[in-house]
Amino acid sequence: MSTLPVNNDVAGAGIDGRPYHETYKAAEHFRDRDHEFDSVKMGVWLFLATEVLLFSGLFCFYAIMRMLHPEAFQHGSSLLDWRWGLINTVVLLASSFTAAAAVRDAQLNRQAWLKFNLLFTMLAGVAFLAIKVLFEYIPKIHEGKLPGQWYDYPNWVNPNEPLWWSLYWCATGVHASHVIVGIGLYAWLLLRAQKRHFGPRHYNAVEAIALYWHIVDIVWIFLFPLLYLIH
Amino acid sequence: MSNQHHGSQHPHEHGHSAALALDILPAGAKDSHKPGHHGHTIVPLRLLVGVLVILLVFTVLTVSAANAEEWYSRTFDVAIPGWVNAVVALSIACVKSVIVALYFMQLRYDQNPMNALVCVFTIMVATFFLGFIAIDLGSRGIIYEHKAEAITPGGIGGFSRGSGDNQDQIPAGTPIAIHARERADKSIEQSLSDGKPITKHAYLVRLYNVYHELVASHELSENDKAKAALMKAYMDRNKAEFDQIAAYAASHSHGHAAGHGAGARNTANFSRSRTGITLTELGAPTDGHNAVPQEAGKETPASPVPSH
Repeated sequence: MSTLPVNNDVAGAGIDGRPYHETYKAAEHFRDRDHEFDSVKMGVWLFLATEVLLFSGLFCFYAIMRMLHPEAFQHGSSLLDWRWGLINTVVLLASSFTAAAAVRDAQLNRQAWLKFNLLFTMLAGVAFLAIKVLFEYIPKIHEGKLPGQWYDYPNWVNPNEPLWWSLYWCATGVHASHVIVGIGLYAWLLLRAQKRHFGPRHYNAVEAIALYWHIVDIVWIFLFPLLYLIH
Repeated sequence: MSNQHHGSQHPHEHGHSAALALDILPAGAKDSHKPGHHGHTIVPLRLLVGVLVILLVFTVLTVSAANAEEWYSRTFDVAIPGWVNAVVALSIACVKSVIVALYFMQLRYDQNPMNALVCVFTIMVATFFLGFIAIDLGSRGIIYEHKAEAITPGGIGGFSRGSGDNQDQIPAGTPIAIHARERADKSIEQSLSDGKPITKHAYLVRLYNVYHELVASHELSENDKAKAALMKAYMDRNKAEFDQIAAYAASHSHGHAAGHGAGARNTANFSRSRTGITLTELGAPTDGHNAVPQEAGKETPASPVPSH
């Protein structure tokens, strides 16, 4: 194997000046590219399983506290504006669509569309965070609707409402940190797509990161009704 | 849907000419590059767009369901149990997630069954978590019947560390929520005594809340009764503004778990009413100026601040 040309270039031009994805070769411990693709994908699914377990902790927190303090959760939820939640849901669903479309573009070698869809997904992540921070986090910080020890909002109905705000900040905060990571990953994909790293023969990273982005979307699909729509 | 498997567009079957020559297999490995053996499905764009549209429709549906339920409950004065809302919202969320997993995450087309297995295992574990929580909390009422003590307000909301500065002397161990309210009260009182302006609304809201807290407490001292009477007189004089506050408060109180009066134990899975006695029991005149809806099963509304 060592006599074969090893494709370790990072500048974008693959072997003989051909694009990286056309000459891509699986790592040596894989039988072939399909073997590598399947292993990558299953690895990502196992990682996603741990992600779901991480978020189930928060969903359990929600279940317990909502059952213990229904009034606190009702009133806390009524202090959120569901319109921002709805806009953010639409933004994330659209970005999930472009993430799936980007995989398709790589499979069909549509380089321009691939870059467009990767860029759109990344910008949608930025828009999600911007809406969250500007219209939700900052006003809430000013009003004292903060978790645990920092809680300072006087107009509660049920004295257990600090628990609601703890949940709100933990759940949306952990989710938002995943969005931040996703934005970074899509920026990296975009840089690589610019160098024509992805195409029909090789799009492992596009596929893997799309899976991650979809799970972030799914978590928000649950968080949105649970946080904004209960009453 | 089997026609979605575009064997002819198999991405690994394109551009093989020179590239495949680099894929020299280790001895004994099977060649998996036979056409059709390992197809990576290319999901048609039509399908992806369709899935997006369905997801958006479900999103609108879940919002409308929640709003329609609230509207129905308010218009016809019907108390819809809290679980209805949760079940509707979660069912729609589950359907949406399954669609995302099947089509966007391509679980439906995966050649490797292990991915679906991992997915099912994960859902199973999450269900165990939530299921055992439901069993635990659902059965606590039986135990609490025998051993529960009344839960103090704010007792579970955590306790503040107190603050030692001059402005805000609230002892450590005060529940955080109580602490927050006391700070707001003190700051309003401070502003008033310093002659600093406060918004009238903030003052009225505080007054309204304090009044109803006084009324809700079980044992009123003579001093508290006098204070409450003064407040009531003031609220009657400024009826219009307090009616607005009360209307907001009423719109935020929903009929909830009737039948647990002042004597009911504060059990975990029962809705607790904040009011121990009603205004009538206190001897307050029920002259229609009393803006608090005190029907059975309604909670005393309190916080009327419509800020977000």
